[in-house]
Amino acid sequence: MKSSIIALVTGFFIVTGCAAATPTPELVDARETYDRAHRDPSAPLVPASVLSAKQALDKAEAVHEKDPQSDSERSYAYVAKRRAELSMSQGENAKAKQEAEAAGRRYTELEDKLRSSAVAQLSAERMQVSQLGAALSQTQAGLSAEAAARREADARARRALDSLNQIAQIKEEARGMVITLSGQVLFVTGKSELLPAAQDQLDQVAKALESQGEQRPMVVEGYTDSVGTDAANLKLSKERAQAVRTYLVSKGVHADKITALGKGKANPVASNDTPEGRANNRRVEIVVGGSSAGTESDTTVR
Amino acid sequence: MIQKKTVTLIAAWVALLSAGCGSSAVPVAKLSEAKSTARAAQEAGAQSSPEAALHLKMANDALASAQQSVADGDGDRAQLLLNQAQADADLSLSLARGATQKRQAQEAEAKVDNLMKQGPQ
Repeated sequence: MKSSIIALVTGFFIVTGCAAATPTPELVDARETYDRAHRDPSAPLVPASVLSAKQALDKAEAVHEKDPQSDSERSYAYVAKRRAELSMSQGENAKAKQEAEAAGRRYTELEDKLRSSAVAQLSAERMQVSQLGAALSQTQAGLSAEAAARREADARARRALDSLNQIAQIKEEARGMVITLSGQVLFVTGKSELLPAAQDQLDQVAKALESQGEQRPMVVEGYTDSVGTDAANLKLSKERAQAVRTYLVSKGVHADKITALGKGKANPVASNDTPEGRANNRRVEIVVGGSSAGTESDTTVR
Repeated sequence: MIQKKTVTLIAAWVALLSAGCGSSAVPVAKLSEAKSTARAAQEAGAQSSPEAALHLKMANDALASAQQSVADGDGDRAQLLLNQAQADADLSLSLARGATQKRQAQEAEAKVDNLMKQGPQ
C-alpha cells in the first residue's frame, strides 16, 4: 500500500518530469530545420546566416528549458525555424549568384574567343582576297605586256616595210611579195659587184624580211635589158642575183631558204626602146613566199 | 490607411505604457522594422514567387495580430508576434531576391549556350 503510493508519486514525478522535457512540435521542427540548414552544401557560403539560425534555436531551447510547452517556446521555435530556412535560402542565393558570375565570366571568355577567331578568319580571308587580287593583276599585266609586245612587233614589221617602200618597189603578186630593186643603184654597168649604196638598201631588205617573223622561202631573180647577147645577159643577171643572195645570207637570211636565178632579158617591165625603159628593166627582184624555193638553180642559165 | 491609424494608436500606447509598467513596452522600433522588411519583400517581387508570397502573407498576418495584441494590451504577445513577423518578412525577402537571382543565372547560362551555338564548330 505504502509502496504503491510511493510508486504512484514517483510515477507522477516521472510523468511531469517527462512532460516538462517534451519539446513542442514547433521546437522539434525548428531543430530538424536547423539541422538541414547546418548540413546544407551552401552553408559554408553564408556562415553568418547559419550562426544567426543557431542563435535563434539556442534562444528557443533556453525558453523551452525555462518555460516548456509555452506559447513563448512555440513562438521562439517558430522564429528559429524561419531563421534556419532563411539561412538555406541565403545559401541558395549565394550559390545562384556564384553561378551567374561564373556564367558571366564564361560568356566574356567565349565572346573574346569568338571575336578573336572571327578576326583571324577575317584576316585570313582578306589575305586570300589580296593574294587573288595580286595574282589577277599579275595575269592582267602579263596579258597586256604580251599584247603590247605583239603590237610592238606588228608596228616594227610595218615600219620596216614602209621604209623599204621608199627605196624599193613592193608588189603583191600571185607568186608572192615582189621587192624590186633598181639595177642602177646596185651595180656598176656590166659588173656584178655590189655598190656600197646597194649594201645599205639590202640591209634594209634583210631587216624587213627578218621583221616579218618566220622566214619564208624566197627567190632572187636578176634581170637585164635587151642590149647585148642573151648569153652575156643571162650570165650577168645570174651573177648579180648570186651577189645579192650572198649578201643577204651574210645578213642572216637562211641559205636554204633563198635561191638565186638569172633571167636575162626576160619579163621586161618596160619598153627596151627608150633609155628609161631599159633602166627599169635592169633590176633585181626578190620574190618572197614563192613556190620555187631551193638552192641556187641554173635552169635558165645555159 | 489602417496601418497609419495603427501606428498612431501604438504611439499613443507607447506614451501611456512608458508612463506605467515598463515590462510590456510596445516595441515600436520592432514593428516598423518588420513592416519595412515586409515592404521590401513586396518590392523585391515576393508576389511573383509562391513561396515568398506565402511568407509575406504570414508576416503580414503576424503583424496584424501583433497590432491587435497591442490594442488588447497584451504587449508580451505582441513582442512574440513581431518576432515571427520579422522572421517571415526576412525569409520572404530572401526568397524573392533568390527567385530574381535564379532567373538572372538562368538567363546568363542561356546567353552562354546561345553563344556556344553560334560559335564556329
